[in-house]
Amino acid sequence: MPAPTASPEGGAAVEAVHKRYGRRGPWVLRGVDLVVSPGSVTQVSGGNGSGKSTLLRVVAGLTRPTAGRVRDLPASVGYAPERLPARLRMTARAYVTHMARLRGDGPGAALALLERLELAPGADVAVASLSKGNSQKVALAQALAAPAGLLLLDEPTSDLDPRARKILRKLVVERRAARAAVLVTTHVPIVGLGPDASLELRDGRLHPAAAEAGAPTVRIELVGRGDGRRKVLEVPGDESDAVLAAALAEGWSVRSVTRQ
Amino acid sequence: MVALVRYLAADVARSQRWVAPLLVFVAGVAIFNMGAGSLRTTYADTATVLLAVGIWLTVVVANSEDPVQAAVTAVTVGGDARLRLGKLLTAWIACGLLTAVALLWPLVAHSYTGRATAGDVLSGAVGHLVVAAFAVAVGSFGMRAVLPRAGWTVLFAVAVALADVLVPHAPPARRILELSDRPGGSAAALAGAAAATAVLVAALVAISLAVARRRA
Repeated sequence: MPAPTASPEGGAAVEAVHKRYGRRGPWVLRGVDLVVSPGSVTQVSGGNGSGKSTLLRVVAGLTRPTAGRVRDLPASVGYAPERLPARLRMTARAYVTHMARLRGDGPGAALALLERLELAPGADVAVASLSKGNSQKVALAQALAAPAGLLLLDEPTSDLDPRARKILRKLVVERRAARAAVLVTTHVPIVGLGPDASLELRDGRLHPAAAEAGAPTVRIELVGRGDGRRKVLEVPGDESDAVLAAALAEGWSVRSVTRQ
Repeated sequence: MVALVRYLAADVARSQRWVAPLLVFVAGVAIFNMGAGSLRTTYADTATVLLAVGIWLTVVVANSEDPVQAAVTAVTVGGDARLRLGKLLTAWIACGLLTAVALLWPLVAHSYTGRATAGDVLSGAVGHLVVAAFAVAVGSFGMRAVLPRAGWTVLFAVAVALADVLVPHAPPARRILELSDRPGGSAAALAGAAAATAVLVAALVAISLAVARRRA
């Protein structure tokens, strides 16, 4: 495999990537092409074991594709795994400080992000003793603190409470405005993220998310509980239950659901 | 690389997995300082202890991070090869601290016979650091990505360490033991052993990094 080439502009291009583990393992990725451009959010959804995390690891340069290549990787890449390991012994403050210093930066941005994400027990608690949600906040803070380049988020909302999800959406939108290329993998589409591209990983290949492919969609009209804000979503029919559940959990009321 | 070594050292320090190899090393140094001969032979003996302990320490440093934690670090520093080299450098620096213990012990305890010269201490320092580099290179095969099972790692490490001590003229440990018996020693012979070790270290590290990369 040729080494990933660097691009100062950000983003990344995945070209005809195939991946299987071992010589006889089943194919996880079967010819994935993907361009993640600076100033955009790309959301890749898929079921358990569909290869989303493998795709993210390939883009990050952590996993070597069996065939194909990744090019135009920027110098700065931020990677947030779903959660940090339970045996990480440092405090959240020490960990994000070390990660910032590895990039040659001061810890200010990462510590400010911990505050914005409202890390409940504070930054001076060992990551190992944090709850899943708070551990995910530390993982996100160290990645979001990276200078604009490529931002890779693996299931970033899986353990977050509704309030933290809202804050994360704002942070992702800010990173996009700062010209970062954002690639998000998610089991359930993140409500309100407004991705520039929404794809589904199925059978090892990327497909336009069902809504774009002309499949039946569901129109969901939401009203914010308390503030009366309105939001209309059009989602693939087979994902409407999950989106509704997520919306209700995040403080929205359902005004109407219409099949289109 | 300084920030990476600091981070890795902090992570390993918190793990406390360095305690056992440190104790074994201190015990080894203490034993070889009991009824010791000349300073040069004592240093050659403690360098041999460093061979075994250095391999152990390298495996500890290389596998201290959880795989997910290591993935984040690798992306942050710009690649897993850079992270792995940082781990090997951290292990070598840790061996440098052990080297200081081994060098100072006989000087403080006066546990050697004959005169001690600055040349003896210098050649002792070079000998320990050369053996440490070899130990780190052998220990790099204990990286999870190369030999994921502890049993194979132990077998491999013991076989290579024994071979390096037992095979005549094998650099660096056996060669340094042989040179320590020569009265007056030879800086040129030590430099030769160091050069041969450098080639071995480069080859071993290149192989282990390539295997780790292939299996990623």
